[in-house]
Amino acid sequence: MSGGSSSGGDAAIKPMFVLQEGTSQHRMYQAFGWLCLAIPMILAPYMLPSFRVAQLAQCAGWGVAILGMNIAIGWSGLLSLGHIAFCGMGAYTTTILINENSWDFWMTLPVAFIVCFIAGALVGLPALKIKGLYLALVTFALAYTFPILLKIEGGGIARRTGGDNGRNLEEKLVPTETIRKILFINGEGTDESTRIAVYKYVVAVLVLLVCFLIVRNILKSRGGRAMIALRDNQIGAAVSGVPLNKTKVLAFALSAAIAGIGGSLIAMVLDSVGPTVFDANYAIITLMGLVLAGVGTLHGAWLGGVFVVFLQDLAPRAVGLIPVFNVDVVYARAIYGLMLVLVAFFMPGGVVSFGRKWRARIIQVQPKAPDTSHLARAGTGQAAAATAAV
Amino acid sequence: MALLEVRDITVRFGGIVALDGLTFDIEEGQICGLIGPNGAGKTTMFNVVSRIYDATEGSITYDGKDLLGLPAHQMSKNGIYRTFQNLALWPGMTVLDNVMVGDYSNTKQTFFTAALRLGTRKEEKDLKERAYAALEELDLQQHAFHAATGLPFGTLKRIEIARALIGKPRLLMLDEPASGLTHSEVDELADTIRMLRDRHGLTVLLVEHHMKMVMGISEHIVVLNFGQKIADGDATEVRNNPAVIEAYLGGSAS
Amino acid sequence: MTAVTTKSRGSFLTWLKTGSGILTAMMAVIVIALIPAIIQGGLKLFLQRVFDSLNNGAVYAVTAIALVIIFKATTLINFAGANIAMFGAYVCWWLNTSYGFPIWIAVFVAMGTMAVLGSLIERTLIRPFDVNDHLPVVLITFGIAAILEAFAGGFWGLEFHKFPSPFPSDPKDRFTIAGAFLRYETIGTLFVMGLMIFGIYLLLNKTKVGLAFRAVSSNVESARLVGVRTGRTLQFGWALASALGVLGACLVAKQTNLEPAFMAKLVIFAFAAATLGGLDSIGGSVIGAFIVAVVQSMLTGYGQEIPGLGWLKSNFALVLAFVLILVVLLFKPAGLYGTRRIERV
Repeated sequence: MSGGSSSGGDAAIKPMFVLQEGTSQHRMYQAFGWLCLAIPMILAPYMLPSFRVAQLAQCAGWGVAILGMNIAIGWSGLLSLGHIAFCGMGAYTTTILINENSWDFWMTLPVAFIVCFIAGALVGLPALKIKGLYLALVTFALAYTFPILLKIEGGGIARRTGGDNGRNLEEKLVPTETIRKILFINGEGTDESTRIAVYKYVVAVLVLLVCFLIVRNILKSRGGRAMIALRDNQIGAAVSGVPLNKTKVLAFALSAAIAGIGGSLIAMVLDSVGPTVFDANYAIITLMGLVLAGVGTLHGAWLGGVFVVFLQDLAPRAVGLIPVFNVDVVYARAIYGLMLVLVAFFMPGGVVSFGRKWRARIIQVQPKAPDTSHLARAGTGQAAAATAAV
Repeated sequence: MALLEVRDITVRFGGIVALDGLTFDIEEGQICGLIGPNGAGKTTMFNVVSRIYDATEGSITYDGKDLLGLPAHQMSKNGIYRTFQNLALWPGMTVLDNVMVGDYSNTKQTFFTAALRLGTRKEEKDLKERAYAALEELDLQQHAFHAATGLPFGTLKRIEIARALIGKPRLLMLDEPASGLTHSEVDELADTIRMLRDRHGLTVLLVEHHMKMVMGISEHIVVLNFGQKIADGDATEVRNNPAVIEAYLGGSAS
Repeated sequence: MTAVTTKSRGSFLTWLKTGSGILTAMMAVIVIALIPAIIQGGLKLFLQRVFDSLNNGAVYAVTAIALVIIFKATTLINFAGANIAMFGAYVCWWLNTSYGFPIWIAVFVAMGTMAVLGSLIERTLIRPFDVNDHLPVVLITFGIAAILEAFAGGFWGLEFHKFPSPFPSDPKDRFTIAGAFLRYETIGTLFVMGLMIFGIYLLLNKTKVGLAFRAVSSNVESARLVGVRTGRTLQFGWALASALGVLGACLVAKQTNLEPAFMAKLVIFAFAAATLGGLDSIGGSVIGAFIVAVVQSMLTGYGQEIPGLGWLKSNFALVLAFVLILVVLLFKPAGLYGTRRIERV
């Protein structure tokens, strides 16, 4: 380890603290980071009114959806605007299984995953041949088409999906006695709707956490690196042995499947599904959530859903503050539009990358070099001598 | 039998003939230089061997196998690795991660096993160590955790060599490795290439404009001009070949 | 990865893979599928459906050309195109109804206004980005679309407005051919479209700015090196595309009525048309537009009579457009008449 290597950050900035990877300080720093995330998330349901808790549960659902979108858009470079359709498929799968087949919510999640995985692979197959903006075009058309597909009267589709009206979940997710005890929602003082909101929040956040860990593991593996490689340079990836077609389809299918899980969560939290939650309009809103949180950043998953839910809440109010216009919710859309433009110009990496830049000024972690001493190599010394530093 | 047998390779793009009936052999363990003026078809030849371009006609046999029937990503499985004239690294990853992808063909994790961490840790640790060792071998370890962008061009080119090296290549193809280097760096690079060949038992196919270097290290040189082979032999033979002199100095000699 | 293929194949298969081959094959399949229904319905109904589709075809064509021009100039897909056109149609309607501008004058003023806006958008919002970095462009064009939609709704309300027809549109203004009605409006729309294509042809092939445009669309770097003012040319492309979009919107607004999302609902067909014909081929996208329109009219018209397809209604034409886009891109990624670009390594 010769000094001076930084963790990919801007080398010109000298951070206030430098930590070595694997030291106890570094572990404490990591634990601190997780606590900063966990404590508000654990306290929130007990401190906030129940409608806010329900909103936060929605945030977690959209967060999962955005995590899925990020696999395709952020890491694989497959510019898909149609993931809202996969969300919808997940949501409707859950709803139909619960309503028609009286399934348990938990059992519907793997089914939603598989259904959306297959659907993603089917859309991903043509995506192999369709590059860049063409793919954006096709997938946007998919986002446009999905709500109409729900209304097809043939094959009992409209009957199962509820057509224009959507459907309510007949079997709502209700905590058992044991769960109530564990979550401290068995006491007096709160009404039943609050307790259910808290439970749903916990379920949504747990699923988000599991999805987050799965995606993180994949990203730090051979497959994840292959995805990034085909995003950054396809020919370099092919020459290094990455099977482009297989990796693309798998990445697209996986991202669709995780978006589908997000959809299932949203259906569970809202207790209903409808074509207006999974239409082209929401395709844009989720895209905005993704880019505001950070394209290609793992931690964007925590924030993306928050933007999706709360911007819809705040934008109309923000418009109300501007005295020039009459308080007209119509202008809320202009705020979304403005956000998209501003992000593209000033924060291409979203809030997470922005935060990282600032963090790098305060603290940097110096990665630990792997121990290579046991690898049998013939005369490394000579190699170093022969190629003396350039 | 030669390791790579190129027979009558012709590549046409529409009406343009990029390669015209090219035939040559590379023996195992050789350093073979492919030279020629700009636009002679050297990089096209590389792209045909690494299956990025299809050949219109002809055949390439590698270790007794028909190469042109295989897809591009199977080249590395067969031990064929290359570097690029204008780099094909992945700026979104660290240098170390870039090198780790180089061993894609020899590692086994899948999306599924990685997602649930089913016995992937050992392979991952081992891969990381070998990637770091490959960087050490080329004296690049100080850049290991830097993003693979914004470094000097020569350094990036050597990172590409490290990425190729980790996959245990049998045939290593280097596309203008000396471009953008200073005089002393070119000499070092020549030593490095020879050293890598000796240590890893490589066969090297080299495209290079830097004549002194190519002449110095190549045991076999193939000269192209307008997609055709105009000379083939060792450095002395090629240097004294009138067709080569004409191609490089212009048609006035004839 | 698709290796660049330079091999030639058997002659029939080769022909089948060309634009015309696929086109013929597709038309053959559709015609065969619909023959029973067409025979049953009679000539009059068939003709009527063809006539009905012509109007849509012309509008899709004009909108698709607007997309193609921007794609040719910048290799970008303008997702804001529909709403630029929509806004222009509102401007036209507003000038006509509130200030008494004659309809055609209002159309031209609106086209000019949106051309200026289009070139401003190119200069300030699109030019700063690398054309090969697609995400920012998608964000910005969607952002512009949302802003324009909000402002149209804010200025002029969300309700439907009746748009004045630029052509004689009395119910009696029509020809009767074999019992089917061909309205003057349809003829007028087709005429304007033809005029427009001819105008674009002249502009691109006979003028200096057209030459510059063709140079830029062929290779920006080379064009810049030989002294073409590429920036201005791109701005010109955006201005032209925006103006044409407005023209398309004004032609169709009579039938759809004005509301902030009226073009966004329609643009998917223009996308389908442009993808079908090839996003860099003006002629191809016009052909694509009429195919989409005819197929839409036939399938939704006759499809309902085919057993098992009873659920086909006109809004399922969107599904059709999607399937069409997907299938075409699967077999001909560059569209029927588009050019494939060979990538250099």
